[in-house]
Amino acid sequence: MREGLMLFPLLFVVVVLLLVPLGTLGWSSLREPGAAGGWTWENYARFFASASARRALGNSLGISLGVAVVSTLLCLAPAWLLAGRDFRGKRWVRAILTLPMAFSGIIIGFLTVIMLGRIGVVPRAFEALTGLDWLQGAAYGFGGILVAYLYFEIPRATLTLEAALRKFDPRWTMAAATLGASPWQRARLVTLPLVLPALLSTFAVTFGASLGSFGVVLVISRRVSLTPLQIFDEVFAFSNFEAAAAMSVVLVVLGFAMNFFLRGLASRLLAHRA
Amino acid sequence: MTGSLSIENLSKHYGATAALQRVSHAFAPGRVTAILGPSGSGKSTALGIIAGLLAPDVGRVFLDGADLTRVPPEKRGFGVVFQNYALFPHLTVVENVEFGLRVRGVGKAERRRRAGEMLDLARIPHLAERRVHQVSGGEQQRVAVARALAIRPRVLLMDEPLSALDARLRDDLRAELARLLRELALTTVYVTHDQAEAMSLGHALIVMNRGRIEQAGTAEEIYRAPASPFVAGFIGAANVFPDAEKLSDGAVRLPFATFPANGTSPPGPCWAMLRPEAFEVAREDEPADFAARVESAFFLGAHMRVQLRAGDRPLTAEFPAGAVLPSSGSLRLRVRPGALYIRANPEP
Repeated sequence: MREGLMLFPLLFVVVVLLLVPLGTLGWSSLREPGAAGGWTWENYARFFASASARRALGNSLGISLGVAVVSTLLCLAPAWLLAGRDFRGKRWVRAILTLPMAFSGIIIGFLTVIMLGRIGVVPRAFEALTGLDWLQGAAYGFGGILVAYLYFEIPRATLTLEAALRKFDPRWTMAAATLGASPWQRARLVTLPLVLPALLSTFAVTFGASLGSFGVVLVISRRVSLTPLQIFDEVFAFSNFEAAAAMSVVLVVLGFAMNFFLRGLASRLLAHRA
Repeated sequence: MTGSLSIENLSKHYGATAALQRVSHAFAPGRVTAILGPSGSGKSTALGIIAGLLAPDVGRVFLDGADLTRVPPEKRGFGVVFQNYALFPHLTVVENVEFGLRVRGVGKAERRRRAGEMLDLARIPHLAERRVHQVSGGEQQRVAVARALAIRPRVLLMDEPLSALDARLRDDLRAELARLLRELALTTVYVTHDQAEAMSLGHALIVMNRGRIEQAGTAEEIYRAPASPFVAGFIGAANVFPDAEKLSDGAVRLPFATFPANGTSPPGPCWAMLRPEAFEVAREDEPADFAARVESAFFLGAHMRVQLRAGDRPLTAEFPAGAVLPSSGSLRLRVRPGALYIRANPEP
């Protein structure tokens, strides 16, 4: 009974902050526009019929997948280092890593403009060195968005993965070595299967966070259309809440689907393999 | 006989700290050698170097005449039981046991058969299909032993294999492990900080302290004739007197009394030891060697343990449970003939 009481805050948060708004979202997405409207699939039909909406969704998924793949790969080495033996300055490294996560997306957007914008630091330096203006305005294309996302997703992925890797006992690989396993066999039969679930969950978290990220792209995406921006436009430019709700539901479902898929994959990989 | 393991002049430093200092030993083939010492004595470092998991700064490891110092652990064929077992959590019990055969390319049917034999030997055939986290601590210990033995190791290395278990289970498993190791007749190095474990499992004992071997021998030899005050205090209970003196007439002076001649060592400063069982209560009509005040007494079944004070020196004594101890605060005591042990001070 007391355990039940201790779960109450969590239940409260889940119900009030998750189920109620998600339920409302789902409900809105199935209503005809206007106060007197009835039930309809129209909002979804129009979303999937629109070439620009499909392109934006494709961009969102592509960038999120790219960011998740690159972040997960790049964070592997620093996370392994942080999770392992103590070294001087470890606390500082971790403090610096948390810094980008403390910035709001808008600020990261502006930092990206300052570095990669039309008269940004990097394009100017590149032009001064090579005489080429290839990087001018790089902030506003796919490259700029990718860099801006990686700026805050790599630290997040590193800290997520580090927490998981700290459960990895180096004696597992030592035991494998004494049993006759070569370095390659140790990596394949012991390290990889034991680290893979952590990698997959880091990937899922990074993917989900990138999919819904908005502040950064609000500042820098001039040339690339993304679904979160279209949702913003539907609400504030066209006051079409129902269409915005349908787009949001699609994003939520995709985020959940990736999460469930990766969790399932992880537990299947961890499960008994004959 | 194969399984002649020896280490020669091993040293290992961590930064400025010397974990191991010029340690040499030839292990008895086919027998269990227990390395006993407090934490930080270098015993686990020595084991890690023998296993190939640590590289010594200098020194060499030999097996049957072959220098293994630069051979990686996977090519040594030594079975290792780790302190917390280090079982693979993503594999079942039987998959853990057959791991060493799997990486050697043994076919599935053959390795299942041999893993099954090992599980029988460890008396856990019923746990084969369990996941590691579904078996108890004592069962995990058996899995770890079965896994190490499945590769038919040339040498078995065990690092505090019972220390993670509670006291009763530890006693049960200790007896079973002793039986198993006797039957296997495998050269075994068994690291522990528990002297009861070392004395009951090891045919031979090595006592380590601060990165050095203080003494090697059988349990009885070391108990009867410890080489240093450290060993005297570490193996069994002892009253150690580092500041004794052998007088020119052969008598030995301790801080609280002088005792008649003992041994043939030359006169001069020495250290002395009295085991708790060295004392007996003098009868009324007998002369006593010294008097001591009783500070406390505990009934321990077969005997009484009494904390005494002679002059300003605390002493621990044990008397048979039936001994008649005067209820007054003072005892007249004798030291049993031959029970006073003295030895020249160790070289600094």
